[in-house]
Amino acid sequence: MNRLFLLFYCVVFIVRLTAFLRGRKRLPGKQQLVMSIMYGLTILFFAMLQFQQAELIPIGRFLNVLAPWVKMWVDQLL
Amino acid sequence: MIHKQVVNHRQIAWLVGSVLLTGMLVSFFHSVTDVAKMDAWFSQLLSVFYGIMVAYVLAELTRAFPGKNIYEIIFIVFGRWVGGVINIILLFYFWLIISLDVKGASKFFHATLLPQTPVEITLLVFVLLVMYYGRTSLEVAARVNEMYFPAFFVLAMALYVLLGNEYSIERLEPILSTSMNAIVVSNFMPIGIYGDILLFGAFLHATTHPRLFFSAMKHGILIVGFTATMLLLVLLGVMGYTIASRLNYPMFILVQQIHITDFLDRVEIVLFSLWFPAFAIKVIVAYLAFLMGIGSFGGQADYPGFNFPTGWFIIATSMLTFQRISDLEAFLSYSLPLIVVILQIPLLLILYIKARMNRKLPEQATIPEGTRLYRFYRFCVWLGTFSLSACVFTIIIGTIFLNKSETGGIITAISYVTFFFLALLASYGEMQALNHGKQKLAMEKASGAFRQ
Repeated sequence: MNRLFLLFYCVVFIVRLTAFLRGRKRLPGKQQLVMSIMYGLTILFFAMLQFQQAELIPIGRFLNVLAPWVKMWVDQLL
Repeated sequence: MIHKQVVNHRQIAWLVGSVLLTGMLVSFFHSVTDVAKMDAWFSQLLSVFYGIMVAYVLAELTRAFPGKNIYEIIFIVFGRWVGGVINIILLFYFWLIISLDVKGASKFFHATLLPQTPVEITLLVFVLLVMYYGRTSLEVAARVNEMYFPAFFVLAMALYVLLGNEYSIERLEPILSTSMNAIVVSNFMPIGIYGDILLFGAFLHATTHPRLFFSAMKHGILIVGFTATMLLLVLLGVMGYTIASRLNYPMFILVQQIHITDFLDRVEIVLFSLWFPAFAIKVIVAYLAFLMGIGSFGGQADYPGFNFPTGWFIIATSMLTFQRISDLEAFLSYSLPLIVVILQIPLLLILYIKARMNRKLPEQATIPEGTRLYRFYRFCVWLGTFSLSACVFTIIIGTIFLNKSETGGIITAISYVTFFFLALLASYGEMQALNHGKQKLAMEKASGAFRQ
């Protein structure tokens, strides 16, 4: 992964997360919850991203699980 | 904030054009030409019908639930918990669209125009641009689109002239010689892209005239159908289906074939400079729809508050998905149409039934009956329906009766393009008639109020 990207992404994320954690009391409860989930998911997926070479979480394959079946059906139809 | 958005009929039509058309240009034509070979340019019709059907249901929803967007409507119809689950599924679908486009564009730019720039940087810059628009509303995107979409449309149409020296009609022949099955399957494939029209469900609250909204969406869909047909016609005429079906980015290579003079080199840079903003508008619309969905869970209409976590979430997840361009193509051509059919059809069917049961706004009289404008409007509606039906019959008759005949093929091709163009013109006339009728009625009402 590009180091410049990594630095920018992480620094901005940490700054914004800190600002959110400090000011979250001022936000309505529902908004606080949704924003916490979004930050949490971002951290989770970013952690997953670090293991992509080992294909521990093959999201691309999961999304394309239907494609071979449809392609097979198309080939049969043709 | 979301209730302040006002988008007019032309902006809706052009936004639909941008959203649907630009998504096709990255690598979609590759798979269609692979399936339907030289008859791939007949592949837009079924998807156009599908798009019009979705637009009709959305218009019915605005009639039944005025001032509400699709997330709010789902909560009303299905209740808090079931509605919440359906909205999460809808958000997942919108995330798929954004992720597909962001990753597709980054991969495309890395492979063609910016080979030295890492994909992560292209992706980051693209999402930052989208996040900038995420602080605004659909109105801003619609206004920016008004600058770029006409130029993009004109240049797409001009390709036929610009590539005239490379074009050979023999590459399309024998017209309609592939099997009916191949044509039907190729018509099914673009449904994944035309399904993106559901994104406009997130902006239903900005609609005040359901009939005009439907006409504008229909016009946008027909712009897309006709332009995609013409682009495929040029692509196949210049390259032939063998080359087009083997290239990852056939449109890029097609544009590179423009050789007008020796000193006018790299025309593709100019064309893609116009294509990119139009494409960015598509991702912005999808992103705004996604933000609104998040906002509907957050219990507030002021969605820009969710902009940063959502943008950073999109960056992380987009980098995880579609590692290879072949994954992206397979998803776009084979998985997405199926996902659209499985997800959208039952949802829209239930919402349509509910909308018919709960109609709050009566059928609005947008044009005074018996006037010349009303007769023109009826004629346009009739002409549009007739032309689209004629397109279907042209393909059927051409396949069954004129199969492998050279003259028959040419007659079929000319009839198909003419009818499609007539349908496009009729949809424009229908939209304009409704708009003039609306303005006339508003003026009459205003002058009446003044007299009182």
